[in-house]
Amino acid sequence: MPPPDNFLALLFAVLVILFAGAVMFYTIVQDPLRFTRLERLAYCYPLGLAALAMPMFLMSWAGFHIWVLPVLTFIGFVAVTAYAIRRISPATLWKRNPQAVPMETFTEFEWFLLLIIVGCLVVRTLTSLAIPLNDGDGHAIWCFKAKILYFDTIRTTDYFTRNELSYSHTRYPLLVPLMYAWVSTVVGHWDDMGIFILNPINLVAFAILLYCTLRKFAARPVALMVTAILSSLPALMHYAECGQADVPLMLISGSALFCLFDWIQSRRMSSIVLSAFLIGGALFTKEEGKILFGAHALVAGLSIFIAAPRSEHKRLLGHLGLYLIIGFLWIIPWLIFQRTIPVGEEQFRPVTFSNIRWDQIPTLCHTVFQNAMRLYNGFGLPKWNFLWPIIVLFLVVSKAPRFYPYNCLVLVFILHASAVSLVWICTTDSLTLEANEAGWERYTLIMMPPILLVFGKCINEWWCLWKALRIGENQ
Amino acid sequence: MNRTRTQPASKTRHVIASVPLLLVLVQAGMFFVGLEVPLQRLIRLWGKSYQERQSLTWPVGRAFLQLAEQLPPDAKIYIEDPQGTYEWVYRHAFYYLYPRHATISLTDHRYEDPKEFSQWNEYPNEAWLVSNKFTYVVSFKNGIHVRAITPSVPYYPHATP
Repeated sequence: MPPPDNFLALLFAVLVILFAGAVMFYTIVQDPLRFTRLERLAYCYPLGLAALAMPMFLMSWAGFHIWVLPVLTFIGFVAVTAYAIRRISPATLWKRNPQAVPMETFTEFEWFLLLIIVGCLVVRTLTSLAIPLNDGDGHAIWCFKAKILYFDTIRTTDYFTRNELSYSHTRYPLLVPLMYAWVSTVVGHWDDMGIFILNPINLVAFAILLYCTLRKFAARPVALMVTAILSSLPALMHYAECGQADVPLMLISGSALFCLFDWIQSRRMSSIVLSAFLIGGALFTKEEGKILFGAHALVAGLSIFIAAPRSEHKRLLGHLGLYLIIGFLWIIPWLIFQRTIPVGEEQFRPVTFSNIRWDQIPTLCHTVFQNAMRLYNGFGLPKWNFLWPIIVLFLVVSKAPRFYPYNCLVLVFILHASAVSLVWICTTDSLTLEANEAGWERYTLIMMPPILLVFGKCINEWWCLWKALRIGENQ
Repeated sequence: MNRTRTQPASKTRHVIASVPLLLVLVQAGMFFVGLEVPLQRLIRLWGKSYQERQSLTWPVGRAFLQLAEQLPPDAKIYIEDPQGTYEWVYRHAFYYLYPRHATISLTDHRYEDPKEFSQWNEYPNEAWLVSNKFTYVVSFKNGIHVRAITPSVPYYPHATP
C-alpha cells in the first residue's frame, strides 16, 4: 500500500494522464454528448496514455529527462491551441446530455452483478497496490526499461546498444515504461510500488468502456453480465497487477476498437480519428499493436465495400486514409528510432513462407484448444472458468455473429488470432502449452475486446427472446 | 383452443432460451474463483511493510534489493560465477542494481539460455577491472559476495538470498 506522502503525488500523476486525455478528447470529439459522462472519463485515460507517451519519448530521445513542468506546459499548449480553434467551452466535455433518458432503478439481479463488478475491481486494485513487483518479464523487460528511462535518457543511455542487455528485448515499444517513469518522476524517486497505481486503472477503465459500449446495443443486465464476467476473469488476476504490458494493450487497443466499431455503424469522422489516435498508442505499447493496426484497418476497409452505399465510398475511403495517416504518424518517431537499435537474437523470426513450420500446426491447434479448455494453468491458478466453450456455443447458436456489423468484430478476432499463430509458427520455439502457458494466456487477453462485444450481442439476442417468451407466457 | 396449442410450444422454447443464459450465469456466478487467490494474498500481506511484503512474495527480489542498497549508486559492478543463476541475473540483478552499471561479460556477450549460461567462464583480472573503472566485483559462488576493487578490502562479505 503506498504511503500517504506518496499518495498525493501518485494521484497527481494519474490526474495529469486523465487531463491530457481530456484535452485530446476535447480536440477530437465535436459532439461529446453522444458519450455518457462515465464513458468520456474512461476514454480520457487511454487517450492520455497515448497522448503523453510519444512526446515523452521525443523528449527523452532529444536528451532531456522526463520532467513534470515541460509535460504540463506541453499539455497546456495543446489545450490552449485546441480552445483557440474550437472556441467551445471545455465545460461541455462534462455536460450532461439533456436528452438522456433517466436511468431506471436497478433490479436485485442487476445490483448483484454490479456488486460482483465492484467487488472484483476493488480487490484487484488493492492487490495491485499491496503486492510488490513479482513477475519475471515485469522485472526483465518493462520495469527495467522504465527504470532506465527514469534515471537516464534515450539519447545518453547505452542500454539500446549493449548486446548483453538484449535479453530484455531492447526493440520493444516504450509506452508502458514511459508511463511508469512518469509516475516515478512525479513522486520524485524510483518507486517500483507506486508505479503500479496505473495497473488497476487500466482494468477499471477497460471495464467501464466495455460496459458503455455494450449498453449501446444490449440490455443493461446483459451489459452488466459481460462486464462482471470480464472483471471476475481469473486469468486477469495476475496480469492486471504485474508490471507487464498486456492489460494496457488490451485497454488501448480495445478502446480503439470500440471507437472503430462506432465508426463502422455511424461513419462519424470523430470516431475514426479517436480510433486512429488510440491505435497509435497501441502500436507504441507492444509489437502486437502492429497486428492489431493491420486487423483494424483491414476490417474498416472491408466494411466500406460490404455495407456502405457506392456514393459514400469516396468519403469513407478518405476517413480510412486519415486513420492510416494518424496511426502511422503517431508511431513514426518510434519506428525511426527502433531501426537504429541493433537486432539481437530474437525468438521471433520473420514471417516468411520458408519459416512456417507446417508440421507444427497440429501442436498449435492442440495448444489453442488446451489453453481455452483447461480450468487451471501450470502454476495451479484458475484460467477462464468455462468462458471459451460458452462463447463458442453462443457464436454457433446466435444470428448476430453472421451479420453486419458484428461479423466485422468476429473478423478482427480471427485476423488477430491467425496473425499471432502465424508469428509463433515461424519461431523455433516449442509450441506446446507447457512451454509458454503464460504467453498464451496473455495473447488471449489481448484478443478479448472484439469477442466480448459479439458475446454481449449474442447474449442480448437470447435475453430478448427469453424476455419476450416470458411476457407471452404471462399473458 | 389456440391458446392450449401454443402454450406448451412456447414453454419448450422458453426452456431452450433459458439454457444458454443459464450457462452465462454460471460463468458470472463463478466470480469467486477469480477472487479467491487475490483475496488470500491480500489477507496475507495486509498491514505489512514493503520489505515484509517483498520478502513474502518475491524473496529473490528482496535479496537483490538489499544488495543494491549497500552499493553506491555510481558503482560499476562485475558479476562473477553466475552459472546456474540465469533467471536471477537476467531477471533481477540487472534490474535491482540499476542505475549502477553491471555486467557479467568481458565482451558484451549475451548468453542465450541457461545451458550456455552454465558454461560462463569470463573471469577478469584485476588490471582489466581497474582499467575499465569497475569498483566492485559481486560473486554468486555459494551465496552473494561483494568485493571492492578500490580500496581492495571486502565490502559486503557474505549475504545469502
